[in-house]
Amino acid sequence: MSTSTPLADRLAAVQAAALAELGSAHDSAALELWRVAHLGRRTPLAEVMGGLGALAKDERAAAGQAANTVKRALEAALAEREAVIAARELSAALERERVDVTLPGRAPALGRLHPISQTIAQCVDILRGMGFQVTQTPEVELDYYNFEALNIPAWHPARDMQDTVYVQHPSVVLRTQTTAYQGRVMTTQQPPVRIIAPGRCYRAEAVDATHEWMFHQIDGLAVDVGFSLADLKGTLTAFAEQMFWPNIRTRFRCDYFPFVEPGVDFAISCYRCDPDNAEAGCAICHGSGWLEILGAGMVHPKVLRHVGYDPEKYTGFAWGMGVERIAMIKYGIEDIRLFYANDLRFLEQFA
Amino acid sequence: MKAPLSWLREFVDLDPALPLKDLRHRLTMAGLEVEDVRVVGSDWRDVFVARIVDLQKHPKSETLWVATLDAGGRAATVVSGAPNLRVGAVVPWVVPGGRLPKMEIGERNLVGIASQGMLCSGDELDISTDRDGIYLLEDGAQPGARLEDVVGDVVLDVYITPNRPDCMSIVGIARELHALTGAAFHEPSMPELGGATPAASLISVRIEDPLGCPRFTATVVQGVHGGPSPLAIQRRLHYAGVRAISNVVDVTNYVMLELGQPLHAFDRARLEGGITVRRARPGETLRTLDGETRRLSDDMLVVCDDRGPQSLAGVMGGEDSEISTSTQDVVLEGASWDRASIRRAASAFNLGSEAARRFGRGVDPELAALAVARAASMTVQLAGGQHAAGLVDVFPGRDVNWTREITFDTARIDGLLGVRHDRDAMATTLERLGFGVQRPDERRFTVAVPSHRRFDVEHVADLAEEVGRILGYDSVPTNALSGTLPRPRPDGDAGFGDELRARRTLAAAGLQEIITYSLVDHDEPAKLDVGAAWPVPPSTLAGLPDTLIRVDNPLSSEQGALRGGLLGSVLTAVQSNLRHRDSVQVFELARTWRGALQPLPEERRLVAIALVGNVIGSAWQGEARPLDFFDVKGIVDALARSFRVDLAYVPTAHPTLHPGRGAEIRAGEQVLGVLGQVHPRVAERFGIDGPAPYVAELDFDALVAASRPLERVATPSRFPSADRDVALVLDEAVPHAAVESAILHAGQPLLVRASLFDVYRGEPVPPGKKSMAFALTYQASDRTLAEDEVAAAHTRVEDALRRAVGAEIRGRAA
Ligand SMILES: [Zn+2]
Repeated sequence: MSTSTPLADRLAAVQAAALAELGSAHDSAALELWRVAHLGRRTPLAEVMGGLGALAKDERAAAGQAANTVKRALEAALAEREAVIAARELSAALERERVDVTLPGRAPALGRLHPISQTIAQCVDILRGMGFQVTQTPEVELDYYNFEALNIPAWHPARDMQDTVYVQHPSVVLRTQTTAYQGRVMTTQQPPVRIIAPGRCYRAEAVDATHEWMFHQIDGLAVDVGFSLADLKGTLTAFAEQMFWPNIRTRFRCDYFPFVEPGVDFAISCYRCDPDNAEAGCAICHGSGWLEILGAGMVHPKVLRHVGYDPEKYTGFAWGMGVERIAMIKYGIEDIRLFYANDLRFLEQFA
Repeated sequence: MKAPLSWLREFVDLDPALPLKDLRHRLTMAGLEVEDVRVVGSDWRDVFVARIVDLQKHPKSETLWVATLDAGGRAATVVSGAPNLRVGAVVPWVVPGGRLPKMEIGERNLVGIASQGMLCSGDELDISTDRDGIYLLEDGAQPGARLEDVVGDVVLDVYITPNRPDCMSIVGIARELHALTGAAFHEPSMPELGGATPAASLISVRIEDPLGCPRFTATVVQGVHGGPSPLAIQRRLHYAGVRAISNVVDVTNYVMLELGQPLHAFDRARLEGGITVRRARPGETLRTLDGETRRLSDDMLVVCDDRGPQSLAGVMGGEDSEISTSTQDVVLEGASWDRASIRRAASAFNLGSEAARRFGRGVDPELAALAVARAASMTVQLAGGQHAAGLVDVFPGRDVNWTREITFDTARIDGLLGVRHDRDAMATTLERLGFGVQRPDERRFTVAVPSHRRFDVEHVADLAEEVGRILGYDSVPTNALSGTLPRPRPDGDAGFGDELRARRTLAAAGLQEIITYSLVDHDEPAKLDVGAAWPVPPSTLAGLPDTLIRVDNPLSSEQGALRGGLLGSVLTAVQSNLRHRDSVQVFELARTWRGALQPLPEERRLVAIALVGNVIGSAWQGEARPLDFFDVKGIVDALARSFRVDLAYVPTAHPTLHPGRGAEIRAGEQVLGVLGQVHPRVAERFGIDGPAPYVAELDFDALVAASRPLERVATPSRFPSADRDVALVLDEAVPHAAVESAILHAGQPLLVRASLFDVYRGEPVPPGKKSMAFALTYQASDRTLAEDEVAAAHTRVEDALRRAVGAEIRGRAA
């Protein structure tokens, strides 16, 4: 075993030739041919092995061992070569499947809610988080609920504040404010009350960039023992911080709405300038530094009495806010008419 | 209300150092929003007072004058075409390089003579409305002075809320400033009206309607000389937004602006006999100052002489007794009127006079005598003559207590405001506003409401506002809301959540929500071809009713009626978007109205869907295909599924729709709405070219009512299912719904799913027939199905198909 024999030389030659041939096999078909040629039944190795019968018994065993070593080496080389070629072929196949990732995607049709619906949903989410319940009442409403029950009798000067559309009868109106729900709701519920009413409202007003004859409001109401203007301030400030931006500055000033007393106007700081140093020419706040977003106040004792709540016992606060105004501030919309022009190029931006 | 600061200062000693910005801020915070401030002269540059020292005709022009000016030692030559120049006149002169609100002034050559700057009209300076000539200043104006030092003022434009008629006056705003700043306030005082002739000997007044007219005060000024008012008065009126007319009329306006009491002046020579105040009689007419003849009704108050109505009380005077330049004797009227009557009359004639605005909101009856006396004495100052002694003051409302007292525990103000104010500060605030304050004990106030606040202060809440707004709402803390949450409401959220769910489902299905106007053209149903012919009873119909409910005062005819359906508006939105895109997929969920008013019309929520164009797919891969009937149907199904409603579709001949592509949408026996392709004739009316849109409209209230609550869900079976296909050939006319129903019925209880996967027409299927293929799934919840169980069930299905729909079974896949 220590010296080379002609058999060992032949085995080495067979192995070298086979390995050399394997090196030129470049795909799985060539490999299969090689396998049949070198590891099958009729192979150079088998030929060598076939001659072993002539050897002495002890030589025969040693030669068989040497031949097996060659066979195992060839098998191992094949496996290694197979792995390389499989990997190469897979990557070639994957390369053929390459796509242009910059081609347009196959988008499912994606619809959206109208920005007004989205804004209402956001406001409702925030206010529900503070324990307010949602209600809705008719858009074509009795004059009674729209005005009388809210401390605005027929002759009242406050009627000047709203131009009303009437429907075939002086007692039937298109509601001018969602506040009309108050009378309907409070007569069916005892305090504590926390309720909001979103919906469409209508006024016979000329249309311009900031006025529409149809618009949306969210009206809020909270009644219980001990509510004060401080609770109103807290509620509306918390709302504004969530709806607009944290650390928003707010302003409450005296204003008049017949169904509240005291009445306040609630404003938030202009998003373009600082209220303490407003730009005189600011197109957003007109130089005041403040954006008036809603009217509010403590529920008028007459309104409470109207629905059978004792104003000596209960107090409450209420507010009404324009949804369009909020959306316009939030999204920098300059013309209210865009909401109902229904131009999809406008609406589709609210994704 | 435009309030010149110089006028306010006659009643309140404002600190001259108080910055205008602070003044504006304080008034605004207190509820008197200062909408605008005009500093007279701030938009001028270099306008001076000059005296005309020489005036010559322009040598080359018939119409021009050459004026030599002396502006306090500075001389200039100005060419002007104004007709009212004279030597000695004191005029406003803009020097070259100066400016007016609308123009820059330089030196220019007028027909050969250089004009150094220009002379100005009152209109150019906005100190009067006169544009016919140069503004001739008062003689006392010093040549060389800056014009703004002579005519300047600061004018606050204050928005007065309807509850504060008392602030529609200089005195009212001055009183607010007194309360806000503590500056001394000078209550206007009643002038003595001495004289030889008692007023009562010159005029008589009788009130027939004391509720309509609680007070009527009058006096007479004899021997007046009509003419213009002094320039300072005219300018004040102009700054306050009132046109100066003549001294006698200007006085009535001046006193109204100052005190808040509208006055009326009659030419006494034009009145016959005494004055009677009464309701108009039906058929009476009055020619008002504006030249219109008004037909009066019996709810209007009129001031009459022996002949009849001479003025529409509190709204507008009559032309016949109007003051003219020849008027010698003036009757001055200051009255109180029932505000509802005034509002009705003003709105009946659409007359929004300054007087009507004040009377309509409420004028303090206590003001009448003060104002008439002030006007009489001022008339004598401005127009000469003699006033009568005293007043005729008929005051049937005197017995009504114009003031009221409110006694309350001061803690209630703390409770409303959420802050505790010092009691002395509270009392001082109220007193400065004119309230009388008594403090019967430690806790309580008794507050006497002055007559000028009788219209808006009735309750402790009103006083809380007075305290709060003057002491400032910034001192009110910001409380996080706490306390007991309310009980659930019986009607839940009144459908809000359902609407949101529907909107989100439809948006997820690829539709863009739109919101269109609730008012439409009354003829919209005709445009959609719907009307009385529609066969389904209106109570169950989601389509349009026969006629829409009209509104009384629409802004335009396109918004003349409440809409009964959404389709018209939605198609309009589709059309407008087709101008800039090919595909539109939209929906709206909104309320509609129908039926008689009882007292309100029926209000129903509808959903409308419209699709036109291509399915959004990958166009570069050739996947885009036209949207069709089954797209809109699939979306309606998805909407129904999200409410757990099973729908059925029945062919229909809805006039709005394509006759072969329309279906009624049903839930059980109830018709929820319709869907289909819009009839090309209707599409054309809406201006839609190309393929007509596919639409659906359904009654959302009915859909929600048909919704089954999700009460319990099934556990998915652990046992394997068996799939079998069935292919059949049957008559073209047999609808899918009949086949599906036969399969589902026969396959019970093991059949859990049957879905159509192919419909084929053509060879080898004979003409008039079609082939359909369904995939069926059998499964039990409690066991693995044996092969023969499945085979038996499937055979039942095949038999049923042969029997029920005349199908021939083709092939049978294992
Ligand atoms: Zn700003």
